[in-house]
Amino acid sequence: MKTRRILVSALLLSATLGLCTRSSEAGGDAIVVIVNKANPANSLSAGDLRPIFQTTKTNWSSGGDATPFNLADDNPLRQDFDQAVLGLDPDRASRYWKDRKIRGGARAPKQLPSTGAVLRAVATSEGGVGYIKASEANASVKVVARIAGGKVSGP
Amino acid sequence: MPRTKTFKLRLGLVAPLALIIAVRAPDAFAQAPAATPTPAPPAAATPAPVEPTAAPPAAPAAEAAKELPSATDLATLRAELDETKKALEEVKSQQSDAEAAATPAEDSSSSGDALKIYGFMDMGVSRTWINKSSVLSQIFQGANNTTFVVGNVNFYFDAQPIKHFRGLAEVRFTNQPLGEIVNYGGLAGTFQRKDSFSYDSGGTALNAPIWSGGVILERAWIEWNELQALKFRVGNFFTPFGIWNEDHGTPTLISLALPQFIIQRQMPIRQTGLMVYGNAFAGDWELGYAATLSNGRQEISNYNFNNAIGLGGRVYARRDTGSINTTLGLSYFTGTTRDKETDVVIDPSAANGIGFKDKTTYQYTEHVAGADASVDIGPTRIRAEGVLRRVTYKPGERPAGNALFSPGSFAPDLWQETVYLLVAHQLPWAGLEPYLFSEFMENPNIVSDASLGVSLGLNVHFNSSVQWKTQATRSMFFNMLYHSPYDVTVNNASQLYSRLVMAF
Repeated sequence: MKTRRILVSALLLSATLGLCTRSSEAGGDAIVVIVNKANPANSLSAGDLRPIFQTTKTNWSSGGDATPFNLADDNPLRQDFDQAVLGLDPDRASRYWKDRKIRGGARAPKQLPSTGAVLRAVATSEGGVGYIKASEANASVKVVARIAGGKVSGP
Repeated sequence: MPRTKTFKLRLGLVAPLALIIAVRAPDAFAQAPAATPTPAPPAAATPAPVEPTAAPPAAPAAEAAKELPSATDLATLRAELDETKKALEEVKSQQSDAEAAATPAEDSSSSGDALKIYGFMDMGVSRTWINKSSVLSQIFQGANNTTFVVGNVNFYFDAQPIKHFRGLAEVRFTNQPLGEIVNYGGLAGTFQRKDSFSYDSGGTALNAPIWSGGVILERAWIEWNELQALKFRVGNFFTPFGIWNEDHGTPTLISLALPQFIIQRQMPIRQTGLMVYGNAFAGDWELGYAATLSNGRQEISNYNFNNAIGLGGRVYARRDTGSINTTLGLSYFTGTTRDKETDVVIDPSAANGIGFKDKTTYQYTEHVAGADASVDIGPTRIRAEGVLRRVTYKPGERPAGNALFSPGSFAPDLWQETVYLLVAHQLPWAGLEPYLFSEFMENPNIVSDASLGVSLGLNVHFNSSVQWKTQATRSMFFNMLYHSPYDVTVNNASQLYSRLVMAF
């Protein structure tokens, strides 16, 4: 009984620390793509987002810098986003960026440590674009796309 | 907030909470049915006197039932868990805010780390088999021997001290030119091999040995990249020509062996000058361009001898749907290359009677055109390039032909054509990626006027950073246009390369 107690406590602890196996789309919560409120775009497709997050499109169609913010490679949200938008699993995404570096291509999007940081960065950066859990979105940003079931759809 | 500090904070808050749960949990755990019934306490060896009681002795099942929590206990526990969850969410939220506050959202002066260092390395073994009667067996020193090699040791210094300005320098460290033949013996004179040995004057022993090597500047440029459609790059850059020259590094290139149009430098590999490039999007298609204005070829000097600039460029169309990535490109380069020598001569008109006189040893104009296609369909990668080059010498300024094989001759104007096809497919297990690479080239020279290379290779992707690449190549030579007095197939060669490759 004592052993089970310790085991369950350890599981609880590891779950809270984010050490457990990832589940798709952050535990069932959809991902939303957010832009700064000043951005005139109301909806972005996977085709719009792909070159921005590949840093081949560096300006918004309406003008100004497009500044994508990524989460860390091992973040489940990042992995779901890469799969849905770039069509790359974590291994291929990692290879993609290594190849880009060796070619001398443009730098990868800036990585932020958490969705909270992404939210704040997008809210305060005019050209900012990022992705967070749907439940974390608030009025400081504009939702322009939603990712659920590996598909990108309108907001 | 530093990561370690964040982690400690999180652990500091969460660990006690988890312990509280563990202490409070026995009731909850008792809900789970035990795999075996709870055993009765063992009977004491000596029965103790028992107080008479009205209630019958509790059965083992009843004992277990006693451990079950009441509905109130459960409700309390749930409430505590909810409170814990809320507290954790708050901590997470505060932590995110703290991290966000520590991370500038959009720094006006810089867009990320000011300096990043990364690169790649490859090491391994090579073996080439060439008929000993072939001239190639003497030109390539490693022929017919198994040689362990240090391949590329390339470091990139990627600087972005201010937004929209970026500088990139790539350097390669090499043991070259240690061991190179400086001069052949016999008819060619006295044999001489490059020896870079010296005593280490900075060492702790008087006679400590060192062998100096070289540092190759692969590229070094600074660019302004504010506008997506119009970016400027100045410095020394890889010629934007086709796929291979841009892919450049062993981790990125599928094949270990280089195609002949790169080896034979049918276009300049790199140039010093100005590059303007950019792209735009039309529906699903990305349309891009690069235009270069440079000193032209750099093989003989970093200086421009004759004010004749090199002009070139590339246009491409790319469509990336996420599952299929297609790129089609066209490239072009033209330039005039001149070599000059300077003689010291008697010049009565000069102040001291001595003057300098330039003379051109050779001068040619070249036009190089290329077409390329690259298609990625899931795990399948297909690459194809074709290059056509025309070289025209200025009358009277042709270089001498090969003194050994064609004494008294001069280099002719020439056409060179190369085409290759490479197909690779990553299998669903063990990171295995076999590939087939074939290249045909027409290039009149002392060996033959045409060649065909066929390679089979295998890349093993251990992870996204490390791969083991192995390739076997058979090169075959033949004459299509000219009659040769000797059998050119004697030059046919086989190569086996294997490299452990790491990107970092």
